[in-house]
This record gives sequence, structure tokens and C-alpha cells, in this order.
Amino acid sequence: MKKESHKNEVNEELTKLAPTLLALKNKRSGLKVPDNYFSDMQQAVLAQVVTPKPTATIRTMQVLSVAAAVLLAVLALWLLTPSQAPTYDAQLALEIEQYIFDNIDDFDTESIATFALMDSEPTEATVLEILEDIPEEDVEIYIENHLDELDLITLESYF
Amino acid sequence: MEAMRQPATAAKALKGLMDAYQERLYWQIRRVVLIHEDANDVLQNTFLKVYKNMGQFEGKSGLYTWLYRIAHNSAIDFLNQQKRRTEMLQTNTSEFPYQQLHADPWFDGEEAEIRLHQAVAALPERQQQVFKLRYFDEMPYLQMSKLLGTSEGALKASYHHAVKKVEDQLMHSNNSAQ
Repeated sequence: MKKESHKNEVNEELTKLAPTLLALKNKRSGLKVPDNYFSDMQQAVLAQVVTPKPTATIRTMQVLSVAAAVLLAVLALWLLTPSQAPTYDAQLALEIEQYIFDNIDDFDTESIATFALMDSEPTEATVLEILEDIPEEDVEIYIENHLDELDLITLESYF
Repeated sequence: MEAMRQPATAAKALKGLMDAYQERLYWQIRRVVLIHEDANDVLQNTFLKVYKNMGQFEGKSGLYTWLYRIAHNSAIDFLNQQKRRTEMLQTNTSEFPYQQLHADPWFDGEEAEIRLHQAVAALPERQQQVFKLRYFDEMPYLQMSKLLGTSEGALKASYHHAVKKVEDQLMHSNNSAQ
């Protein structure tokens, strides 16, 4: 009933505006649909909307297993790696480096070049070699300031 | 709709949705693409999109409004793809679907009906949409307003202009034929 009133409303609009369109509207449409089209279409759509196959689940499990193994390996590596806390020698080298930097004007070019060309952590020997160029007075001041931190063996090696 | 979000019930829910809306959506699509096989492709894609994007339906608009928009956009996308393909391959295939209607086994209308589709295809896209909803589906302006998100006044004006243009085109082609 409601639909019929909408149809009448539309037809009334056309009567006033467009008689040719009204005449065409009352003719049957030439657009057809095959028999059983909608049930066939439904089947075609539902066939594409199947639940995920077991292979997909296995693949997901494989990915998760690999991810878990990698995570465990990284964790084990982190736990088993020795602590990277600076050793005593490294600490001393850092302090010397800082000292040289602070008093750079007091060093000759050759000493600086020797230090800069070192391609690894400075060894005790290279440090002592560099220290030879530092005025004795400065070394004594440094030792006085860091007396508590130096052991006897290290102190002996300076003299 | 909640049933479609659950994997166990999704397929059954989709079937329910198709039962309820497939015919309305088919005709919306068919009146855009005109050829049955094309309408079939677009309709199937529409339901697959609906199935995949169920999570995006927020319920702010009505369910049919949401379905209609997916169907309409899919049909327009299809036509645009077809147009690009025709231009790219420079084939002799007609750019407009009404030019292929003669070859569609699922069309047995008269020449006047093809001329009607030709005249409608010449309208701007929005006017085509309004014209089809009112002329073919006899949809009330209030419902169209909700569906298209446009005021009833604007829709009436748009339909009025569309009807005038199509009528003029039909009169012109009738006079040329005589």
C-alpha cells in the first residue's frame, strides 16, 4: 500500500515534467536475470568465504616457533655475555685521555699523533710511553689526586 | 551483524544478509553497469567486501545505507576500471555499458530503453544516482536523504534537473529517429 503511494507520487511528478519518461516507466524493463541466479550467486560467494584451512594454521605455528626460538637465543646471548663494566686499565686510560684533552697545549705534536694513530685500546706500555712526555710535576699532581684509586704495582710502574 | 564478526557464525550470517539484501543491491548495481555478468561480478565483490570489512561497520548509519554505499562505489569503480582499460588497450569495446546492451543475453528490451540508459549515462554522477533511486526504485525523498546524506530539498532539485535533461534527450533522439 505504502509502496503503491510512492509509485503514484513518482508518476505524478513525471506527468507534469516528463511524459516520455512516464510512458517508458510503465513498460516492462528489458533487463533480465537468469533463473536461480541469486541462489547460485550466494553459493559462489559462500565458497570464497571458507574458514581458514589447517595449512594456514600450521604456517602460523611455524612462524611463531621461529619467532620464539630467535627470542630465546637473543635472551640467552644477553644473559651469558660477560658484563661490559670498564676494567681498571680502561678507566685509567679514560682519565689519562681526559687529562691530555684538558692540557692539550702542553703536548708536542708527535705525542698527540702517536695517541691518535693507536687503532685499539691503549695498552699500559703505550700509556707509559705517552706519560714520558708529561712533565713529572703533573704526573705527581695526578697521582696525589687519585692516590686512593691506584694500587702499589701500578704506582711502581710509574717510577 | 555481531554474528558476522564471529568466525563460527560468520558464513551463516552472511547468507542471512544476502537473503535480505541481494536483490535490492543487484538492481542498484545493474542499473549502473547494465550488463548482467558485470553486475554479478560487482555484487559478489560487494558481499566479499562486506564480509571482510564487517568490523568497520559502526552502526552509525543504517545497515542498508552502508551496504548501498559499498555496492554503489564498487559499481562506479568497476566502470572507471573498464574505462581505463578501454583507453589503455585502445580496443573497439564501447566505453559506455549501454552501448554493449545489445550483446547482453540478459537484455531483451526495446531501442527506447537503450536510449533511456544513454540519456541517464550523460548526467553528472550524482544526478544519475538520484534519478535511478527515484525513477526506478521509487524511493521516497526522506529515505534517499538518509542514504545519500543530502537534504530532501537538494534531492528534489537534483531529480527535477535530471528528469528535464533526460526527457529533453529522449525527445531529441525520438525526433532524430523520425
